[in-house]
Amino acid sequence: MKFLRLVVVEMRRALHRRLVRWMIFIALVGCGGIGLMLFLTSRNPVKFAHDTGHPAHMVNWWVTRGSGEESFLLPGTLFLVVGAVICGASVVGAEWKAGTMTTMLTWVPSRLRLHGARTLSAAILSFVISYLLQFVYLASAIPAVVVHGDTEGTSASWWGALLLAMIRISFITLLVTVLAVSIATIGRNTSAALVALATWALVIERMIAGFWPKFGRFMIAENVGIVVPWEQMRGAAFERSPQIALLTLIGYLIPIVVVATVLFAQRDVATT
Amino acid sequence: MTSIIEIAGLRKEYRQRHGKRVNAVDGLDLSVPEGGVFGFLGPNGSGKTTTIRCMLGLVSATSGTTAVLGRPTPSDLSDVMPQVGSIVETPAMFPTMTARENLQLLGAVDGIGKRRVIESLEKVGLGDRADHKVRTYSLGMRQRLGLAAALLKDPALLVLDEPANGLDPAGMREIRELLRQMGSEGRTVFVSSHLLTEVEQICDRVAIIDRGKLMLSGRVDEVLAEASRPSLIVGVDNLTVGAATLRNAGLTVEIAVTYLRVALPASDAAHVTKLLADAGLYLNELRAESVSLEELFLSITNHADEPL
Repeated sequence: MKFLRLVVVEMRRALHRRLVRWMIFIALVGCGGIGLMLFLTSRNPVKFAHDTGHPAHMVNWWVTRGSGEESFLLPGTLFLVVGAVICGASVVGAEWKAGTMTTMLTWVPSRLRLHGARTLSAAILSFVISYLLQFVYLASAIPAVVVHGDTEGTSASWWGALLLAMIRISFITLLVTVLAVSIATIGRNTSAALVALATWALVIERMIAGFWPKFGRFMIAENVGIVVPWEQMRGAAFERSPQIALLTLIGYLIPIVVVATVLFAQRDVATT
Repeated sequence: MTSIIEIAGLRKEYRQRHGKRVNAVDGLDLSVPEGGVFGFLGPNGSGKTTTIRCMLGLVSATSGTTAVLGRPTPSDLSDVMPQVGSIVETPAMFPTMTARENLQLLGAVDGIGKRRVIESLEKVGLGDRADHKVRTYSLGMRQRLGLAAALLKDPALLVLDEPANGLDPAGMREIRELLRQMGSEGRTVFVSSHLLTEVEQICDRVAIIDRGKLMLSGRVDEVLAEASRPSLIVGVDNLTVGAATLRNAGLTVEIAVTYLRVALPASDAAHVTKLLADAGLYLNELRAESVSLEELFLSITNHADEPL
């Protein structure tokens, strides 16, 4: 009961962060802009007729890789992941910077409980917010669908596949948030977490995947690219099932979470 | 008398860059009795904050034991902390939230309701600013907000680390009155400070530490009485003749800049008066010499050249 109360408090604290609010606001404004763009680009009936991948054809919101089209849902994933990293790292890093970590520890002396509640609250928030933002993102295309487009090919199984894909994307943002929270806990700093994750994802992984394509199966980006559509990557130099890809991602996460938890529990909270 | 804080052989060693080790606290023994205001004094860097951090489980002690409210810490902190309100260094709150929101969030951790929040804010004089964002608060108001947060739990023990830091004289007076009030309410207030005049005015007991070691501890009046030399301050127009007269009577006399210091207790003042009057010297000052906490502190810590 006490732990749940603490999780709720941590969620409220996270939602009070200006950065978190700004990120949500930017995402909502972005969705509005995308909706307007989709509406305008679907106005010309001649051009629209040739654009079979346009999201005003509702079926394009979620398509399998074999269809030759790209899902409208997928580009939003990148922004959700980046937002999750920034917010996750900030929730912890800002506490250290502001000194509120000491204040919290005088209220919650059990560090494991505090760290557990903070990580869990960040994970839950990340999942829920990313799921809701995906709804807003897809909803931004509704005016274009209603006025200029169609809903052809959207069967019950299609809706099921779409909702499952949204859950997978939310789960990926959850994993990334926990990763950012853990690295920020280890570094006691927002920037440290952002730099570490950016360096890993944008430099180290790209170098490894470039020089040794077969090792791509161990890279976070490649595994995310398999888990979200829940199918083998096109043109990849390796074979990997979605289940193994998901386990790989969780396998990355567990040791980092353990290290962060142990360090948080044992290190001094002091300046000398 | 029951001890509310008990520290035995506490040592905290920090490793600095290049492997150099520094003892922030070095075998500290301390016993704080229940009730009243206890001043924990020491110059900057003497180990006050580290001792408090060890007590509250924020840093782990290299060796030694600490107990708060009769329970060992940090092992039993989860049981103890609901009865302990604390400020460690600067009280940190969310600047973009109001005082009320900050305290409600903290209070929610222990299931403390909204009424208690407003009571705490009113107690520290922030009731009318409860809905203002913390970033608009002055340093003094932030300190008071920290106190309000510490009071939320209605604690038996308040541990306050330098609560008057950075305050102007008016702010210091406010904090002083608050602490005095809290001490008189039956709580134990453990307050660390290097502002000795402040401490002398509000504390019942003091402990002075230096370089991580306990130098002195006890009731303020007893400590000062013990430290005071039994001497009289005597003022006469001609110090040289006055000193010679008293020395001829077998007394030990020291000439200070504007007065004589005679090594006699206050009860022998009449004897000095008579000796000087018989020699045709008339007094313009006669009083027992007293030692202030600040003088005592400086003599113990021997850091007179360092700013307090």
